[in-house]
Amino acid sequence: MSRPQWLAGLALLFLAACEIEYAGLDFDVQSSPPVPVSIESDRIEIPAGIAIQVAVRPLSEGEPYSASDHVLLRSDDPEVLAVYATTNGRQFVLVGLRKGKTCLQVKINRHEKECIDVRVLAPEE
Amino acid sequence: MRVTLVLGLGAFLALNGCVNDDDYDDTRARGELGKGTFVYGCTNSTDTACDGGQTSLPRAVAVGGRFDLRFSVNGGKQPVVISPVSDQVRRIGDAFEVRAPGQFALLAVNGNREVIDIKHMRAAPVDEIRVQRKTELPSANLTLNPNESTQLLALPYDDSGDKLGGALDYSWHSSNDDLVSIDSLSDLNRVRVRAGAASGEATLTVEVSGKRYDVRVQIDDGSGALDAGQRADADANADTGAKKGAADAQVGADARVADAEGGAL
Repeated sequence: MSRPQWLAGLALLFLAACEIEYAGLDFDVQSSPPVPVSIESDRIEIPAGIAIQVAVRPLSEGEPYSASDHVLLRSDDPEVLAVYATTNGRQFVLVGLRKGKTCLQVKINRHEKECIDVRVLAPEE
Repeated sequence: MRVTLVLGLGAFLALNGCVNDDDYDDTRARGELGKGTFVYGCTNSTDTACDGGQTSLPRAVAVGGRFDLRFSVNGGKQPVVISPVSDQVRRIGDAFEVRAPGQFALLAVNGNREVIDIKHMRAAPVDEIRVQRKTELPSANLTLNPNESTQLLALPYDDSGDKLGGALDYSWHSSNDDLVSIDSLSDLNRVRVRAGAASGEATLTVEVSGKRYDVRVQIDDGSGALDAGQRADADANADTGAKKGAADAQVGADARVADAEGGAL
């Protein structure tokens, strides 16, 4: 192995060691919708018609994520669940649009980390 | 001097109490994220939420009803209100139109489509139409004297007894024009009706957004018992209607206290 190849391999190994190991997303519910909504790290249930604001915090094994790490939430099926950004990059508004199942994509620094199961229930009357 | 000060303080506190009472609607209209106030608007005079010149956020909006909702913040560019749940509420021109019953969220968003605040409202189907004469409580009963002419206001209610907001399409018909006739335009929620010279019973049919509600009208010269019911299949009598109106008023007052205590979200 030539010297440049050896150095490149070492650099890759170093970068891999520095990458933060994603361990899930912590939700903090910040609004009070008129009907119950269940927001968990691994499962979300929300009735159609209801909106809720959540603050998110990515969890890690070992080295924590910093405020500069970019978090993006996206609905896998925008006909079932809508996700709106707010003026705070770590706060999002989830809206149940139509009864059905989908998942909530979690991207950190543009890398998809997981897709959280979402169930949108029939509208509450 | 001291007495004057005490009286002055008492008057101030009393007035302050009144102001707090008036703040009731503002409390209900406050955004759920506390960033501003949602301001309800009536698209035309058939929306009874704007009666008496007041524009208060109704407890519920009628399915089929149209209304306007804006968001107000102190200073800066005003966010726009959008309806993300188009199955339940859609925007038509400058108004929102309710399409299905249930709770629905409206969002105040800025120019970047970022959410500034949230408001949930409830949509319910019209369950009954009550008529109101002058300043009387809306009632399920209507009795007219022979040759009496009066203005009637139709008010939509849901099955919980909540008066519903939203502009609706109305159409009035009389089953017997000799007993009771409609003297004004019949496509508003306010009409002028005139009783005939003879005693008897007629039915006023109020068609609201394609659904019909019957109001039985008794024309009585005072020689017989008074009896009228709102629905053709209802057996309500005059006392029931009056008590129902009074009970609704009490429920409204209780709910108002509860809302005030609930306060901001």
